[in-house]
Order: sequence, then structure tokens, then C-alpha cells
Amino acid sequence: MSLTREQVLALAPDASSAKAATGLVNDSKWPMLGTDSDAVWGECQGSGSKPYQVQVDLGEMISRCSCPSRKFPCKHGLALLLMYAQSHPRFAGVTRPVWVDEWLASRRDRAEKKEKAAQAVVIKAAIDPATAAAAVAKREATRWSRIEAGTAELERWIADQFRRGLARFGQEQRKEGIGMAARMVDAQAPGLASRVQEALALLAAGATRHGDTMMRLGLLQLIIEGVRRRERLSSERLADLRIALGWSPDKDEVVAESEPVVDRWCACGVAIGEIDAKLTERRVWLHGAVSGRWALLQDFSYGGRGWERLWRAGDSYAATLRFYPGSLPLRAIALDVSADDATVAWPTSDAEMALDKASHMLAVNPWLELLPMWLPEATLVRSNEAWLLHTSAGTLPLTIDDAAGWGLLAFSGGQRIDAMGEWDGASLRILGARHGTLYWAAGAEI
Amino acid sequence: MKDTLLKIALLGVDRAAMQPIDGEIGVLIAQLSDGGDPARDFSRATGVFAACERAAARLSASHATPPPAAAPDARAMAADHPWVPVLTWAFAQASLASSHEAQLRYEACSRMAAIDARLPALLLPAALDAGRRDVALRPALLPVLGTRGRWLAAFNPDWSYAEATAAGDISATVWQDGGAVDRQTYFATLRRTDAAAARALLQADLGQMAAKERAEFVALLTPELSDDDRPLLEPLLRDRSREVRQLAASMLARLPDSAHARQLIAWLAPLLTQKRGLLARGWSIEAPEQADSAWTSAAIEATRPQHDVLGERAWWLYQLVRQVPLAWWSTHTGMNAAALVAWAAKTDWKDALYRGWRERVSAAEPDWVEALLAVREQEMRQHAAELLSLLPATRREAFWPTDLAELSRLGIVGDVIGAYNRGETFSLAYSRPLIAGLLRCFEDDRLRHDHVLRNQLLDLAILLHPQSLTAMRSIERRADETPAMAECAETFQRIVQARIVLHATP
Repeated sequence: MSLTREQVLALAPDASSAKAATGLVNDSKWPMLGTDSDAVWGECQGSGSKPYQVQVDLGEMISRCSCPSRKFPCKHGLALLLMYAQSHPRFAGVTRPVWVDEWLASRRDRAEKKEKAAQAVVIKAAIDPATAAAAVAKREATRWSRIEAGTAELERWIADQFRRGLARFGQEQRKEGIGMAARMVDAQAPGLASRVQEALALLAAGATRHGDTMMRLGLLQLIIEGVRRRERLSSERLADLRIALGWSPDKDEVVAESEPVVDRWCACGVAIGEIDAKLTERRVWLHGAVSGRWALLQDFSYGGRGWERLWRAGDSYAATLRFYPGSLPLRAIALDVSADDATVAWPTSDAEMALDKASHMLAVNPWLELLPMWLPEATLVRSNEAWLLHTSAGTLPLTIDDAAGWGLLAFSGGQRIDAMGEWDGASLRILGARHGTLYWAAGAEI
Repeated sequence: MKDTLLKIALLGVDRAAMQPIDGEIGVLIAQLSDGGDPARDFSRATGVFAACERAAARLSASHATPPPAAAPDARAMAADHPWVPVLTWAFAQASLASSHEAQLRYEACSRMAAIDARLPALLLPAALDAGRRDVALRPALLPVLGTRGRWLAAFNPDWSYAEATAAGDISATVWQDGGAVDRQTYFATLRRTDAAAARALLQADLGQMAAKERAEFVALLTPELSDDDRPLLEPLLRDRSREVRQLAASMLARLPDSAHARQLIAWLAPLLTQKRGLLARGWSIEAPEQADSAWTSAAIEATRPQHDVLGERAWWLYQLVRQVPLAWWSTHTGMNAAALVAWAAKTDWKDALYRGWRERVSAAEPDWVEALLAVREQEMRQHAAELLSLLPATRREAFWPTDLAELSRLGIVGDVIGAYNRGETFSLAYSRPLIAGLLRCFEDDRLRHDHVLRNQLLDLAILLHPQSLTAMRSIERRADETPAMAECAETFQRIVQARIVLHATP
């Protein structure tokens, strides 16, 4: 397996790790190095007397190191891969040490155990379906009652804001609002907590955003109405509601219950955003070449630990997807992923169709926060210090930071591009663009 | 409809009455009311409205046509060109703090121009930003921006320096509203292309300029200096600023037909007299006996500064010498630079002559520079770096040891580095022996604490002759190196690698 320096540095959780790693690319720091088809390993002399044992599973690019760092991969792992990328002669002809064997074996064991546990649940449910179902139903009933109590408070709080008037929203109300967001977490409805926080952020942004605040609070009320009428909702609508509440089904459940969709998928756009100082969210938008379906892979990284798998915007992958239930299933779990060399065609459509489709999706599921949008033949325009996208259907306001904006403008050269982004109902966040055979990804500018 | 709702949302449900809303949404909203809390009814109404509005995205029509696209540029470098990673690295850390980065960017641009390539599109924003911060990069950067780069620059006021040359005509707005640096760049360019226009422009605005500014712009007239500039320069001999007076005087002295130049010779020539000796004729020099009242109008000061090392008469002589072109001495006496410098040492007025000549000498007179550098006087030693920078690279290297340790001991590593302009390198003959010392330096413990040396090593990596790089062995790194030493070694090797790539046949 060959790696380039750039590919290795792309794995770094932050710039300081990458920098520290380049400093460790020094022959004399590594008393031992080796590789075979499964893994690459080495011992790196740190500040202590015993060298750190560093190893990387080449199959999934997962690394492990005996150092105390909480970053993932740590600088030693990155440095090891950097040395490996240089095809250092010392890697060749070394037999795999026991500690690498043990680790690879334990990784396999864990994967097997996980599978067995999943099977055990299925088996248990099969042996005694009544008891298992009753336990699940009881857990769910408890959570619903907590949510119901929480949403009743939230409903009163929203009504209070409208009664008082948003113009009179002050420090005391802000404190209450923060308390209300915390209350939603206690009520096991984290989705509502983040929506309350977003509304508070809009209120802090000043009078020009009061219209948006009003709409946010209104949409929250719609979720509360949904909770109240949940008995009467279809199973798809109920799934939509649960996603809005932040109550997603277990992965195992999704894998067990949903139909597999086998396809070749194009990773049209990847969005990475910090939720707070420690938590990072990644959204990978896939488009299926045969199924024509959009899919969202959403995962989270805590404290700079890397992602389970690297999805490169613009690349194609063969994978089996299992979709989370809902009236418009978007979120999915990817299984049996392998990189696909052939470039998967982007969806063919035009801007009018793209907007109609977006409208349709928001009409079907008003709780949907973001949806994928693909706009062919669009022109990026810089106008009055704002970024706009000209299309045959009209001009869309863009959410794009200046660095990415200038990068995309340079990429497009004013020519028409095919753009992919996330539509939130009012503006588009561009994640990727194509021009001819060239691909541009947000966040890749230097 | 949104405005109606927003008014209520802002004022409060109790203060503003809800008006019936038309249309299907109005009907829906009316059905929702359960006659309970009117504030909760309002929450529901806004929820319904918000859901409907999100599902009915209305875009503003594309009235304005987008600006024209950039013209295609066949010379733009393909994204998979082997230079692209090097260029990306060079522009990724566009900080001005480290001189080696700035130098590498300059070299990368020059090399692109040499193969007639243009920067790849994705690097343009970073490159334009680098040029905005680093004026010295611009001469190398502008030719490789290509049509795409200049097109892009037109959209960002920060990048107007690049757009300006694109139009082929730096608009007068730069002269009117531009910053100091932009104005100077504009003026220097204009002076090269249309000397008369530049003179007229300066003449018109000179009255409104501050002293420092007057001096800066008058100095920019030097490249195309001609008799046509006399009407502008002559009044400046009476300028309020001493700096401007001296500058104008030294420029006029270079125009032999000017009254000022003639006057200087008339003062100096009688002081330099020929004497017939026993074997050959010799020259002797005298300093003025007394101050001349006409000196004031020739930027010569009769009053000696209180702490000057020169005596009063030497001070007067020095001021004459620093204005008179060096060529006059050779023509007048028939001696070349080396002979004149040797002769001066034997006169009574050595210090005045040396100081005057040193201030007068320019890059156009390398023989004089070398003759002055050979002088082992404090006066010349102090200004050695300045003098060396006037010499072409190959001639200056003869004055330096090739061993880094020796350069370091003499404390002139900084001078050596400082003597090279952007884009210049050591000669191959000087680079080869220097490399051994450079590599030894990485094995030395001195690097641990000497951050100045660490930076100098990186600057030297940029200055090595490109052909000397391929033969360089890799650095032996110490096992007990500090992170700073590791970073220095890494960067050194990356610079060398980057330069090898840039100088390989593309």
C-alpha cells in the first residue's frame, strides 16, 4: 500500500499534531521499524526510558500508540506513517513483533464480539419475543413521558416569549432560555436543546434576526404538537419526530431492520463543524449512481479522536447503505465500503428541479434541518461583499466563509460549475463543486 | 404575512391584536386555535407559517448577469504537475516573519515564469494574499498570476495591486488614493516607461508632500536621470529638508552640464594639484582653507556637527567629495580606483576622501567598491555589508571565507545573507564548499540554543546555488535533538527538496 505525505497529514486531528509529527521523522528516534501487508509498526523514543510502541492497521488506517496522548492518531502514529510514506528502507524484512500481533488479534476479536452481541440481541428477541418487546416498550414509555413533561414546559416558555414580545427579550429571559435548553437535555430530547440554543443565538444576533427567531420558535412548537399527537402519527412520521427530538434508533436496530441499498456512491460533499470545544460533527453526503438516492452519513468525534473512516469529498465508493427510518430517509449507515476508482456521475437535474425537490422534501418533513441540494450550471458571484450563486432558477444566498469563497471563485474562474451543498430552507452552504473533471472541496483551500 | 406576524412577535401577543390572515395558510391557522392561551395559538400560527415558508423557497430573480468569466489560460499549471505540492507548501504559510519562506515564494514564482507557466487556480487566493503583504514578491508574482489570477484580483480590493498591471495602466487613482508603497511602485513603473510623465507628476505634487515623501520620490528619479530633470532638481537645492537638499545635490552632480556640477568641480579641482617629483609626477590634495558663502546653495554645510570625527576642514572636503562623481577622479588624475584609494591613504585627508567616496560609490562602479573594500580602516569595515551588496554576486564572494564556522566566528553570516537580493543565489563555486559546513552545523550542539543560527541555516538553504543541491547528503540528526532543532532540520531538508524539484527540468 502506498501513501503520500499529503494523505498522511490529512489524517492529523489538528495542525499542531501534524507539525509535531514532522519533527519526529528522524531516523535516530526510531530504534525499530517494520511493516507487512496488514500493519506498520515501530518503536519511538520519547522522553521516558521505554520507547513508545506505535502501530497502524493499514486496512482501516486505525492507529494505536502506548503514549498517553488523547489525540487520535497521535503524533507518533502520524510520524510512523510519514516515515512509511517515504518508503524508508528500514521497514523491509522485519518480522511482526508480538505486541502488534496481539493488537491486530484483539481488533478482530472485538469486531467478532460486537457481531455476536448484535446476534445475541436478535436471538434473545427470537427466543422470548414477548419479554424483550415488553422491556423495550417500557423503556420507550418512560422516555416519552419525560419528553412530554419537558415539552410542556418548553411550550409555556415559547408562549411566554411571544406574550412578552421578542423586543423585550433581556438578560433574565436569556438565563431562563439557557435553563430551558438544559431542561431539554434532562428530558432526553437533545434535539430540542440544540434548537433552543440556536434560537438564543439568533436573539443575541440582534433585531435584524428577530424574524428568523420567530420562525425557529414556531418550528419548535410544531415539534411539540407532534409529541402531543404521537399516537396518531404514521410510523414514518413518528421516526421523523424522533430524529427531530434527537432520539435516533440504535445502529444495530437500523442495520437489522432496514433494507440494504447496494450502490456505487459519490461523496459529493463533506461538512465538518465544531459543535463545542471538544465535539466535532461530520456530515458526508453521498449520492447513489444507480439508485439516485441521497444519503447522509453523520458521525461525531470527541476530543480530537479521528473518524472511523476517511471519506474524501469528490471520491467514489462502493458500499451497502442502511437507511434510518423516516418519511424521507436520508441518514444512513455505510457497510462494506470500498474505494471505487471509477468516477460516479453526479445527479443530472436542473436548478428548477433542484429547488422543487427541496421544497417537496421540506413539505413532506418540516422538521428536516438540512437537505442536500445539487445545482448544475451555476455561477459563483461576489457582490457587495456577499457570496451568491446564480442559477437558471434565480439567485441563491450562500453560507460560505471568505477563504472558501475566494478558493471557489478562483476554481470556477467565473465559469459555470456544478455545485453541491446543504440547503437549510433559506441559504446554501456549498460543500463541493465540479468543473469538467476537476473537483473542489470546501475546507481544502490553503 | 410575515410582517404581520413579526409585529406581534416583537410587541407581544397581548399588545397587538392578531389580524385574520388571507389564503389557505390563514384558514389553516384559524383552525388551529383551540380558544385557550392566545400566545400558544400564536406559537402554532408561526410554526405553520414557518413550515410553509421553508417549503416554498423563493429566490430573487437573477437580474444582474454575472461578470464575464476569466479568459482561458493554456499556460495554467495542471493540478497534478510535480511542482504543485511545492508551490502549495510555499504559499501555505504566507507569513512575513521568516525570510526563507518569502525567498522560497519568490524563487517558486521566478521558476514558474522561467518555464512560462501560470499558478494553478487553487493557489491564487493564497498567492495574491502573499503579494499583498510582501511588496518585494510582486515583481516575481505578477507575471505568473495569468489571466485567471488577474481576473480574480479584480473582485477583491485587497488585491488591486495585481489588477492594476492587468489593465496595463495603473490608474491615477493609485497615485491619488493609494498607500505609500503602492504610490512608489506606481511612480517607479511610470518613471521607467515614461520618464517625462513621471517628472511632471512629481513636479505637480511636490509642494504638498512631506519632507520624507519628497526624498523618497526624488530618489526614484535616479534610474532615468537626465538633463531634463534639472529644472525640477535645481530648486530642491534650497529645499527645507536637508535630506532632500543633499539628494538633489548628489543627483545634479551626476549631470555634468548642470551649473551645480560645474560649480563643484570649480571648487574641488584647485584643491587637487599635480606636483613634479624626482621620478614621477604625483598628486596632492588640500582641504578648503575657509568656508565659501556659496556653499549653502550647493547643499554643503559650513558648520561642522559637534561630535563628528572629522575636523572642520576635513568636514568641508568630505562634503565636496561625496557629491563629485567618482569618474571625475579617474579622468582628472589618470589613476584607476585601486590606485586612487592607495594614493588617498598617503595624503593628510584620507578620512575625508574615504568617507566621501564610500557615500558616492554605486553598483555601477564595481572596481571602486572592491578598491574600497580592500581598505582595512574602521570606516570601511563598518560598512562592508553595504558595499558588498553593491557588487555582483560572483565578485562579492571573494571577500568571504567559505567555512560556515569561520563566517560565524567573524559574525558576518547575517551580512552574507543580507548581501543578496531576492532571487539571487551564491555561485556554484561558493556553494559547494559551504555545504559541508552547513551539514556539520546540524551535528553541533550550538544549534540547541542559537535560534538566530537556526534561522540563518534556513536562509542559507535558499541561497545555495541550485546545482549544488542535488549532491547534498542528508542531514545527520542528533538523537537528543530538541523540537526546535528537529523543526529546523526538517524545514532545511524540505527547502532543499523543494528547490531541487523547482530546478529539475520540468
